[in-house]
Amino acid sequence: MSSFDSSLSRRILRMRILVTGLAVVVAFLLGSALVALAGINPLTALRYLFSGALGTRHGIGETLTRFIPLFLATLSFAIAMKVHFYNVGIEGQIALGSLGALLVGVYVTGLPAPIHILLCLTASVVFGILWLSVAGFLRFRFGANELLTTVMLNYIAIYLIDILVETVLKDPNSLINQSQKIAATAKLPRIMEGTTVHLGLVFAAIVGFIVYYYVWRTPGGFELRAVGANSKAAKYAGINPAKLIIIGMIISGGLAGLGGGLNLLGYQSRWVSGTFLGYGFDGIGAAVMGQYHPLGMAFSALLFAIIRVGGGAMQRSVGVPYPLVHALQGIVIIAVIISAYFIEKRTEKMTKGGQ
Amino acid sequence: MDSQFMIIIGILLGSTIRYTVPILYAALGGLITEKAGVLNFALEGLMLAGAFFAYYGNLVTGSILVGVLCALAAGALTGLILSISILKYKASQLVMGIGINIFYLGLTGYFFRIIGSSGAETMVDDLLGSIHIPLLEDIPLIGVLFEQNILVYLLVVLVIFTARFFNKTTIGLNLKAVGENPYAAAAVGVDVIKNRTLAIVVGSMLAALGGGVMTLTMARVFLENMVNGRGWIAFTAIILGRYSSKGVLIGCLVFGAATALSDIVQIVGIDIPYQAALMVPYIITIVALVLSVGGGNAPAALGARYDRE
Repeated sequence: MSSFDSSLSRRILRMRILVTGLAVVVAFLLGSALVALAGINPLTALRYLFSGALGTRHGIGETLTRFIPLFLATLSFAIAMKVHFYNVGIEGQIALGSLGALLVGVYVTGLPAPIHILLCLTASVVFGILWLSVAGFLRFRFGANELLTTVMLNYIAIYLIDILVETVLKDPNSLINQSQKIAATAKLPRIMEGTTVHLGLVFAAIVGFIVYYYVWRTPGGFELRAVGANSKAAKYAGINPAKLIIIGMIISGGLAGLGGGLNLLGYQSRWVSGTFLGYGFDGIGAAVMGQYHPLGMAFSALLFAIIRVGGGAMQRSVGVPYPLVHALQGIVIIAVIISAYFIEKRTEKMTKGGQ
Repeated sequence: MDSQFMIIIGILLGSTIRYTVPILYAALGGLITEKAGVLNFALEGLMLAGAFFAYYGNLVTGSILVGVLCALAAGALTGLILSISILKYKASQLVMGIGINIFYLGLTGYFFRIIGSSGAETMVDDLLGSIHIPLLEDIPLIGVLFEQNILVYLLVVLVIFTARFFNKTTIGLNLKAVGENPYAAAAVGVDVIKNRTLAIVVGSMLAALGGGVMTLTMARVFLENMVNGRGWIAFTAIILGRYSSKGVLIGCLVFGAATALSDIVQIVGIDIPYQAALMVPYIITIVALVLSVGGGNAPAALGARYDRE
């Protein structure tokens, strides 16, 4: 019986991957049509997209560097979704996480490198949690819809950091509005020679595994999922939903903040006024595509990173305007969410057929 | 009252209207969709689409009317895509909204760069003329209210009409019924899918028109990501307005006035970072959300998935 079950679930998994893959292919075909509209040969453009993102050592490095904050954003969104907390404010939490790392990285000095880095990352996690807590507080105290408050907090976060960077945090030796660079002891070391890939990739992988283990392999994670699946039943089982929503919220905000911190310590090193990272918004799309599972989200975050880096390469080589990247990501999200319908139908059929 | 004060009040009223109109179009569109039980998270993207295609239609033909029609067409097409994916393929309303928003952020920026236009030479050259209502326009202080363009007057008519529509017309009552209890409505022969599709498409057209107003009568040019959260503010205004068109009107006016005020603060030279002024509408939105909680009045089946038996 159990071997039969596992063969069925393997077949379902294979079908899910196949259908989702098909949806991505359809999305790329539609994206190609947009490229053709610009009078550019889509095949040439696609070749530059993939060779730019994966064809060279440098390109792979760029892709993996962008993967880091994207992957953490997907984890952040997924954990919050598990407890039905709509955290659309990841962009803002990433920005605040960057700010936390920046403050400690620039203004705390004289520490040995590992300790300085850990202190910076702690600050980024705390800042991310605090920023999400604003929305959390407003929901629990006043019942304000967190989806809307987190959207608004995104705009406020980005303007707030720009104000700081243009005033108190401005680098006095710079002509443009930007902060100072973080101290050398706060920089995350590069781990792939000749590329921008930094130690943050290892952190992201470890965090991804911990999240997977916690949510799917521990009693606490089981309670978390139970609340998301059916909060009434969970209450009967003696689980306190409010407590678990708060736990989910804290993890979500912390992960987003960490993503911002890793990106700042490993890649940006400073904040330039007017920076818009966009990892938070892309991360939500990638989380949906990865169906909220860490492994699926690792793939989709990687795909979104490839589209980002490849989009830059397409612009430089054949002049495809960069915003195509967002159009393509939008199409991917829509194609994948529609494909979920076919997966659901097909799964029903396969399970019934097996009985 | 000195004349300087009068002038400032005049400017304030005028820009309150200018800031309110695009949001109010989108919010009314969202309201119609939500009355039928479907959350329209795509207002932001729809406004961007309307802004770009209105601009483009006008750029190519030199006709404002064509611009307006292009915005409406973009809204209708997007509304159809939303309807099919949400109603037929049971896609999550939130995820579809996010997808559409990211898509149009990219598509409008992409097309804008492809047509290779930037700056003054591509400005909408014939601003939609304002229609002066005789006598009323001469009233001191509020005279500015009566020298608006036709899209503003149309909006006033729409607000009044929407209120009647949901309470007095069969189509309006049917829409409300499928928003309150789709299964009961279906049982008495109201086609849930058809009514919801109608609401989504019409609502999306209005939201796109709101974006079109921005390029045709305000900015006179398209800028990437120019909607910048207004769609979400419109979404919030629906909640603040407790799902009535009068309430939505007031909600949008509050945002319009707040934005206009933050403009004035900068113009009269109070020394604050310009980003602080830009933050104001978003902060107001959060404050308003907190203050409005408790009333609710949302359609009972709002956001729920509908499976035909």
